[in-house]
Amino acid sequence: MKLDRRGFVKFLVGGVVGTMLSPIPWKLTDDIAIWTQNWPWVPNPPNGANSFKNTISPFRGDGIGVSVRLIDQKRAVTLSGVPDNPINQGGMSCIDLSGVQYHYNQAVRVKSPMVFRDGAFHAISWEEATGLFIGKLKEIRDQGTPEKVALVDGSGPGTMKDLLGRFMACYGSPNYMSMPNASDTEAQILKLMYGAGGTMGYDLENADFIISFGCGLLEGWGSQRTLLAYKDWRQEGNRGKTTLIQVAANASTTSSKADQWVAIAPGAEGAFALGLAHVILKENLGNLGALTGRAFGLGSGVDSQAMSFSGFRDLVLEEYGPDKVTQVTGVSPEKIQDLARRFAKAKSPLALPGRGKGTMPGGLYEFMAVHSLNALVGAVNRSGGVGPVMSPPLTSWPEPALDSVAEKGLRNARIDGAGSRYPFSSSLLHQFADVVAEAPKSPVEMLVVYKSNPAHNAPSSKEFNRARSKVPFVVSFSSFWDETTKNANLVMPNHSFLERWEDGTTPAGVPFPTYVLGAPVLPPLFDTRPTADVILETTKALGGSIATSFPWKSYEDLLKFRVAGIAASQQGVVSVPGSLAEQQPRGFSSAGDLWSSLTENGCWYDPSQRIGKTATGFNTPSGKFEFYCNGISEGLRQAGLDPKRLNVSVQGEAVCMAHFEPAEVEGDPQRYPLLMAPEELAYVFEGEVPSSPYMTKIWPDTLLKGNTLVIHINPEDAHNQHLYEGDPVMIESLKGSAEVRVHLFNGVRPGTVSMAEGFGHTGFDGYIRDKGANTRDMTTVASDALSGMPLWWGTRVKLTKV
Amino acid sequence: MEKRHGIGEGVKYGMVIDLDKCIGCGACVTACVAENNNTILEDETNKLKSITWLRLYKFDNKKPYPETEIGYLPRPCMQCDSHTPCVSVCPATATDYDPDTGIVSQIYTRCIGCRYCVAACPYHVRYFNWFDAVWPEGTEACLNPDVSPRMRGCVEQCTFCHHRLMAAKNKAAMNGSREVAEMDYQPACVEACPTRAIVFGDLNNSKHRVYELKQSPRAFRLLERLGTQPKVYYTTTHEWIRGMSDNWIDKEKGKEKEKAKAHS
Repeated sequence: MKLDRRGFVKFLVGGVVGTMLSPIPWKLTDDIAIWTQNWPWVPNPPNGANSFKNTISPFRGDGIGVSVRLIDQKRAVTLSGVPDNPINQGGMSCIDLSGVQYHYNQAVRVKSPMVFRDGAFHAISWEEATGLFIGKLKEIRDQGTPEKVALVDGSGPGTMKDLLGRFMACYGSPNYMSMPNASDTEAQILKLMYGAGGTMGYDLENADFIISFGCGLLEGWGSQRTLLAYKDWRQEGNRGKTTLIQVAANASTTSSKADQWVAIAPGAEGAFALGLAHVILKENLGNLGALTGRAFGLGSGVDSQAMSFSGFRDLVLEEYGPDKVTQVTGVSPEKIQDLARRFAKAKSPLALPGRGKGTMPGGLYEFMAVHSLNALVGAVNRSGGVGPVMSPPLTSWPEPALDSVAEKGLRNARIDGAGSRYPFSSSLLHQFADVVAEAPKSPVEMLVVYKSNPAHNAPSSKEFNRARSKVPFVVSFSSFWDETTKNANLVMPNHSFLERWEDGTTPAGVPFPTYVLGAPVLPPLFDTRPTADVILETTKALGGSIATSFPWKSYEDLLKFRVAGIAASQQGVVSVPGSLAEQQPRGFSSAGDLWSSLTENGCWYDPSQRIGKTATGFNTPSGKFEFYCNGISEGLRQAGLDPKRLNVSVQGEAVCMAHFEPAEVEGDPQRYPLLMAPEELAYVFEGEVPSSPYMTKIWPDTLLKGNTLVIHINPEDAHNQHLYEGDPVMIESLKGSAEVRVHLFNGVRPGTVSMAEGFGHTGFDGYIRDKGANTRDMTTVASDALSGMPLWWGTRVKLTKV
Repeated sequence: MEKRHGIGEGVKYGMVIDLDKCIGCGACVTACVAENNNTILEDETNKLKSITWLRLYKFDNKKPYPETEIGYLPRPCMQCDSHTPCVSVCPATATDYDPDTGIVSQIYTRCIGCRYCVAACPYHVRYFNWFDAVWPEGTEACLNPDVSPRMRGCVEQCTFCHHRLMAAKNKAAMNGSREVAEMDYQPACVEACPTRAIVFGDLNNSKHRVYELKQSPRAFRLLERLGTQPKVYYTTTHEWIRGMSDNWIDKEKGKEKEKAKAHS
């Protein structure tokens, strides 16, 4: 057969049409798409049987319940909130959701004990590591100087914190320090004004008019439960029932979501609270009648040191009139009067002290001012108010046995001056850093760091790092390659939170006692050990009175010992599935029953001990709520401190009462014309770990651009300095400088710069390392006049266009 | 043309997000990334390359100090119910609209990477994988087996955690039912939200909370004038936020009237 041109074309066209009408091209295209996407480097997550185990998340220290989804019971995939946990009721925060990612992240986990020798880290065995640790502890103790061991603890309230404190006491060192936060100031207020221990609770759910003096309620203040309260306030049908007023210098999420934002000069919160108190007292508003017989120091009297005083009422009426307060705060007298009247007339008014997430302690007098305001409106120990929350009834620790070395060591004053120069504080990390950094020879031989990263997060990280470099032996128990661990001599990595026992007592702000417990969910991934067990092993190796003070075989044993106390008390309930919804939480019958319930469901709580439900007295020297704090005059006398010589701006009786302490911000205002306010954001985390890689997806480009942090300034200031959106600038303070970019934002108070915290890491992996600048390297830290607590809400800076 | 169920017919999954309750904490974004195996770049600040199925937008009212207010808007896929723009343009049928659920799907292995859908989507919810999938070292171990990781060269988008619907359907079938219970199918973002700002369910089922919430006078949708019938509703009491929901041109004729209509 001859194939002519026409025939060839017909064959060709027919072939093409035929092929196109067949499924071949479509199947081929589909297959090509599939084949070109099935490369071996695209992971194929193995499937398996699903199961869920409950535990608690350790990052924020509020003990929220998390449910871990496991595949074949060996691979953790995702975390979700436990709906029956009263602290979070299923809600999560971005750092808590990142727990599994931190567990598996090989680039940031410390995989075995490490020792720093000859300029590099070397993996060693646990025997060698504990041998080194115990040997060094023995050596220092044998020299009769146990006080030369210091410990920095970043754990939240719970058994681990107590265990480390007890270990240090039995060893003989007074130098146990915690990472500073607002709970430290609250503890001082509880002691001085309420005469109570435990924690400070705020009954947000039942309050109907809330004034927040700078608290980042929606940025992470208190516990996750704060957000549950907010959810209720904004619930359809509840709108208008609760009023939230935010008093703060700069616009924030909380100020924007509040019913009213009162823009105030930075650092003037205390004066504003006293201005409100003035109006209430002058106009005889509030609930002053409820204070009769229950308050000390509102009117004139005589204190426990036989000093007569005229009282808080006179002080406030004389010193804090609206006009005067207006000069300090920048808020008009009419606004102050209006707000005071609305606040006092509310059914359940409540004032909240603190800044940001509560990681920053507050001024003692500022907190006293806010609590005095609460007392004036009858919010103390009332439903919808504020008051001490008793600790959960865990078995008390047996009295520690102290040998002569321990007793001698504990007689030494703390290096940070807490309890001596600063009689009202229990721990002052920044003072410790200053003393050690300035000393010609370090007074500390060994520094132990647990669950914290002070090399990056300490109030003044530069001073801390100077101090650390002087300490001959630094031990880190971190699970991660953070900045502190990278500069340690010995690293003994802790298990991750999915591998260890963890517990926690009532978190900040929760209005009833809680106890949470998390059991290990997975076997250890690396050659790590739980720090609690290492400490218990160490006590046995040290022997003598130290060993007898720690009779427990393991941390699990210790936790069972502690939990038995709750079972014996027969108080409270355990959250079980459906318990919150049914409002009929079940109890428990025995210690074993409670233990298994707790390990499965994670939370015990006692709603009967909620603020306002129980009659609570005041264990102060006067037996009343103290506007005039006898504890201050007594504390100063016992410490041999003359009130006149203190760095307090007032004299006489006002030293013992709430008053306004003007902010002392270092630096020449001419040279450093702007005030930098560190900003704490809900989606940036700073603690034991920084923000996770997951969280980097949340960040808007007005926060970080490439590796450069973006600071926010008011357009007015930008105009004055000829700066435009996105301009690179150098921000410089007395302490340090960093190159950043500017974002023009109206919400920043003119004269102020807002700079986000949580950046500038040099540890961890490429997802977080070398991104942005660390505010703590730049902040000038002031010490609170009375308590010595670190305050770093404002630092003088200047901007120079690069 | 295939008959589309309007939001008024059949099962149509959708969301109502209360922007007054949303505090911009990012828990929804984190939960979404973890649940759906989103790849994570070392530099996520480059928003042209970053993949964020649920993106959190932060904005402010531009008013001078101290009247400035911040707002947040979580933006998942709008799951458009009418003329779904991405489906209309896909030459490979990699993306499709499921008339039984109203969910817009994406079959990654069928996607040929032409990115027509990325260009067509008015809400910028579609993301192209410019790179091979990477995760921080070792964290492949926590990838979700229910969602396949994607290859370089294909497009992806929020699916309302469709795999959870499959699991819920299986559960219902095991119980001898064909109806998925409201709380048995909830996307990861909804589950994680600490203030319960996001509510999810069948927009047509009067027993589901979204049914009533979407009828709130405060409810609105993004770019409603395009007529894409998004199944993600937002509510807010803040007029300035509602005003940002559409592209109003300055001095646009009838702008105030349209705005008033949208707000009525």
